[in-house]
Amino acid sequence: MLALSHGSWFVSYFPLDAEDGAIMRCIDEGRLRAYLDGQVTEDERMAFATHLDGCALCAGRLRALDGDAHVTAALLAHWLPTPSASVAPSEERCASVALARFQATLREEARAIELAPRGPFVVLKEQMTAMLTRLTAPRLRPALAAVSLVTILAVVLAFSPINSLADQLFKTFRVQQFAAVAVRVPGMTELPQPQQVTPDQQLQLQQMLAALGTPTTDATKDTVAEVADSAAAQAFLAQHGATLQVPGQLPAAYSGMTPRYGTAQPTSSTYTLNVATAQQYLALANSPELSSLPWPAGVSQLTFGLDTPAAVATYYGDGQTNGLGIVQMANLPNAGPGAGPALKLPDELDVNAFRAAILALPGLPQDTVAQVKNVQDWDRTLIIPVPQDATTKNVTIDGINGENPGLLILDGQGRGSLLLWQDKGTLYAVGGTVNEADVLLVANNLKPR
Amino acid sequence: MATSVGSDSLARNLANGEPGALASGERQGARFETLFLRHYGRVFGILRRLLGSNEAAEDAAQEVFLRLYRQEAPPPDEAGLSRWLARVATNLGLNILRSDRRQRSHLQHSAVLDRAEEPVREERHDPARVALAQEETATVHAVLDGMGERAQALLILRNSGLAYAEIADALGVAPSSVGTLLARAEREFRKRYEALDRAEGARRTERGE
Repeated sequence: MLALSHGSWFVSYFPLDAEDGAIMRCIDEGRLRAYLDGQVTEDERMAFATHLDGCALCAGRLRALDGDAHVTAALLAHWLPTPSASVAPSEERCASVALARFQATLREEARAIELAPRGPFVVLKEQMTAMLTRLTAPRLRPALAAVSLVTILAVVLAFSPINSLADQLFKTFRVQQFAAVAVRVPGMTELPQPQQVTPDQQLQLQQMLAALGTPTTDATKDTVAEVADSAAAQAFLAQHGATLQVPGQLPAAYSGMTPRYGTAQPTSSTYTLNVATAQQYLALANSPELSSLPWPAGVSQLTFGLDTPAAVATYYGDGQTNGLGIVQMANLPNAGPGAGPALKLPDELDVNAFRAAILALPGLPQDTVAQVKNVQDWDRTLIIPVPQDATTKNVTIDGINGENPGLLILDGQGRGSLLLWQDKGTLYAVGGTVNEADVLLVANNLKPR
Repeated sequence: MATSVGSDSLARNLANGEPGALASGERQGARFETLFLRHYGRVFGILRRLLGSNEAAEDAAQEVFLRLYRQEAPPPDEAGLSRWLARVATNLGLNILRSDRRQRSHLQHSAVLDRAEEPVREERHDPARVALAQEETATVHAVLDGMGERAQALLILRNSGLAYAEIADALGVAPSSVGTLLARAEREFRKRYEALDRAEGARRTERGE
């Protein structure tokens, strides 16, 4: 009958009397407890209710269990977290979002593992990147990012100090000094840009960005390496005609710390821009001004060259959140005056016309235009775009070979700073999660090892 | 439970049931994605009930799947995997909860002591009552700490609203024994709490509070 259909526990506790089917034994404590929680089947529930009606002993046990359960629940209620009032997200959305996050974590880890042995350069680069990321808008839409990239490219073309070198085979630019121009990064809104870009269009833009040009480089994974000590770093630089400069003084937080040293071989890279793609992209960006830039007629590709000299990075810090780095770039052989990398611009480009067109963009912030126009010595100065909440100042570095003008960039929140200057063919950068005084302290006290 | 085979990582092993004979990483990835999507909701649900918020549950769920991803000897079948995930999620949730509560009860304990020494400045809340509630939470924490891990887990899981079948999965016990274990744990909890509360009451009286 009824009871026979249940599990073995039921049979053992409720053996049916052969005569009348009356329940003979009392209910197991575990089942009574489950009954309280409604964690029994409907058949069990009815059978138990019937039994409890007629069995004072079981009814008493049930009350005792109920008492314990209530006291426990009441006390634990204070201890347990208050359930969130917010609704749980829908399961599918929640799972796919979580999966995307999970995969991003894996990729990030794979990248970290891959890069881990490369040492100070990588750490330095990541911290610098992190600082710059903080400085710039965290969530630029892809389309906006693409616009920014093309704009920056155009700005580089426009602002590069070319005219004095126009008759050379390659238009080569090397840094002799720096100037900062504030750029509203999240507010690139002031530049003509797509107002409503659909996800499909965004995807298309990204693909176009990949089709925009072809990079080549002779850099390999062995280009950057970590070396054991300052002697090895010096030996490396000596091959490239430079002397390692080491800090004579360090900020208190880094004093006494043993630095790590990274070396980078000289590299040669090119970027070949597909002019048609660039124009197509700019047209898609719904910006008549940008699409009417004076591209050279009849030229389908423009090749930009970049030669970077040998460099050494000296890194102090925990490799995580705090760090101080010094980068020293040796001079390039036969690269003319200036320091650091040599940027070679294609002959075909009329850079002056380009620059004029960019500066005439109606959306370009007037203060940016003014700052750019203020820069003297076009053929000597590298324009560094910095976010608007960063502050910059021109400083003088008491360097190895006398006094040199430098550019100090401080992020808006005082979390980091970066100082750039050049000194007789050698380009220096000192930066990290340190303040202005500390950066200057290090820069002003560099000395030959 | 521990129905493990060999030492192949999950990605390799679960990918297509042919350990070591995988063609490409892509298939492993696709297989893991399927598993992730299939089991995420349940893992998240357990953690949300334990931790109380979507954010905390999301963070912890990520950790659960990372552990699965790194598992050298993952459960070979779906049922085993399901139990494995429930158990790992529960243990992780319990650990987070315990360490969180430990800190809180410590803070509250200090707060109670601080308050005892400073004069009552405002009457917005009845300070004596607030102090008592805080002390009660600290006492609950002490009682739980003194109990066996399984009993502790049972009480927390049940009072977080998990069904018996889920509790059984998470603790690796037979579903039919959950009621018995729970009844025992609650009895023990109440007894210990009352004993500790009496002892503290006596101390308070001695201090003349």
